[in-house]
Amino acid sequence: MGVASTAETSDESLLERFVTGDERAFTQLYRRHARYLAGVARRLMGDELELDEVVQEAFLALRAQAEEIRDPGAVRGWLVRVAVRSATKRLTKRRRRRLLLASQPPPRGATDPAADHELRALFLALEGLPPKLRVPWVLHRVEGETLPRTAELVEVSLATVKRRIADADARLRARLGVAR
Amino acid sequence: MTVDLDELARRAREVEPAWDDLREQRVLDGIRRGAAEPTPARPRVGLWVAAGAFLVLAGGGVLAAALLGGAPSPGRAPIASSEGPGAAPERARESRLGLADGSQVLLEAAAEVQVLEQGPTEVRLHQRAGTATYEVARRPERAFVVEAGEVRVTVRGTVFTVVVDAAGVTVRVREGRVEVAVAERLSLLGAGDALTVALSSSDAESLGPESPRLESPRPESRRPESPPERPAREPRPAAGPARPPVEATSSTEPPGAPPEAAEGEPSTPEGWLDLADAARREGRLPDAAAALEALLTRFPRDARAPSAAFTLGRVQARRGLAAEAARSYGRAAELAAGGPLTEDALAREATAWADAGRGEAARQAARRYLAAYPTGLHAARMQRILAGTGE
Repeated sequence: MGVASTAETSDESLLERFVTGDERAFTQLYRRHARYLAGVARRLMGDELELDEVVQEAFLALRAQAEEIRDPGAVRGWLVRVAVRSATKRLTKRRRRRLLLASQPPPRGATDPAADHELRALFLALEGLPPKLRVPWVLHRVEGETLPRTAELVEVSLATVKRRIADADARLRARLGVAR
Repeated sequence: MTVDLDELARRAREVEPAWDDLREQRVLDGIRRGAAEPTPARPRVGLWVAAGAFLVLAGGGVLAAALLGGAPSPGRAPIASSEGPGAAPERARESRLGLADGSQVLLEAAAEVQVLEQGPTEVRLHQRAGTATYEVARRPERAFVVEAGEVRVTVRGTVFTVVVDAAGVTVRVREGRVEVAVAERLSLLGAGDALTVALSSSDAESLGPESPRLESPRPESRRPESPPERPAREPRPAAGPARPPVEATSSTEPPGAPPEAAEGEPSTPEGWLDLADAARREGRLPDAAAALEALLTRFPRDARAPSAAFTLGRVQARRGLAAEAARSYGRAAELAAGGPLTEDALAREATAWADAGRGEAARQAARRYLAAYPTGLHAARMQRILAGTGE
């Protein structure tokens, strides 16, 4: 019943076991990475409305594509890439819906742990950015991903990602009224 | 706004979702359901039923098709707790289900059992409702597991009954022995023993409005064999409106029974969490810390205790109390005991000790991290702490 072995087995080994039908290996992978992935999704999305779905989608993709993963040692990175794609898709839908309905971003919930004034202002400002600027900005500035890794995650060139982050920087500074 | 964008981004990095063991389990259940949908899934090896196959047996009728037919796409597979009672299929009065390992399940009226996995080393079922009696064939090489809400029953060859109703989950053992895990708490039940656990809020949503709480075991039940609870700590004084925590449950009380709440103070973990959230939101960090301490003192075995200890660590860190933060993270790691919080809690403990200038404590924590997670996400940082060059 213990989970001690979780810590002793590499992702690569667990993935191999899962591919051969070991369901418990998948559960171990999930337990190891789900919380981290939820954190990334939370910060990317700005709220928890679709957080479970993003995490779920990433792990369903892992199940479906486990055999095709080229670097089994980099499961976490692979999951983040799927989550980024899923979050971007959902943010795009939300933005489109908001533009169509000419509505404002939803207010943050009362239980939002990020609900201190300045952070709330930041997430609200992020809501106003198109996802193609917002996602690379969060990945680089908040998650601390390098520029090349950010470019890889959002599937654009390094030059493009630099330009988008700079653009997001400028817009956020303007919206938040902070100095350069 | 007085802060700069880099500082805001750094603070945004600290934002974490309300992710606890129960939520993690619900999402995992959703993944399993999604994986069982009729999508172009890759073939699995083995003679056993494919792992993760989703079969619903309700009142003895095999009703997999009922779920497969109306289920959403894998990308939005439902989370278990989101289903209400209306989703339950029509049930027969009583019938018997034979499993591949020779075990039998007697499904009484309203029983609803999912076979999650049938493999050579593990048979795992999820009982969502009703009463089912399990006659488990003796096979020492395989674990037979029944999950109901947050209760997990692991069997060592026996006959036992699980009842899931609005009052909670009851496990009764007729023959042999079973292990019952409720979050981090483990009990060993023998023939004639019974244990009742109230449903968590998420599970209760589908069955009734009863508030979540851990019931005391019935008189005939044994005490938990090896409760992972830490020794009671001296409660710290509360600052601000949150009331000071009371003494930990005395040894004469039944295990799991929280002490009576004083007038005006929360009687449930949720109440204390709400207080802590409100205090954090308003920047009253000492009050938030006091509320979290109270929760940990009053409900040390609650499933939310590990994440409460983790949050307390973050609160103390924001208050600049690095050593207090380190202790809280250490407590979270201990309470989580191999759970999903453990890795981050251990890493933060080491970092906080380093921040507090407690080099030896930081190195000890870093060693514990590396022993458990040699290739973990924070391994490089832990190595730097050990080398005395980081943090």
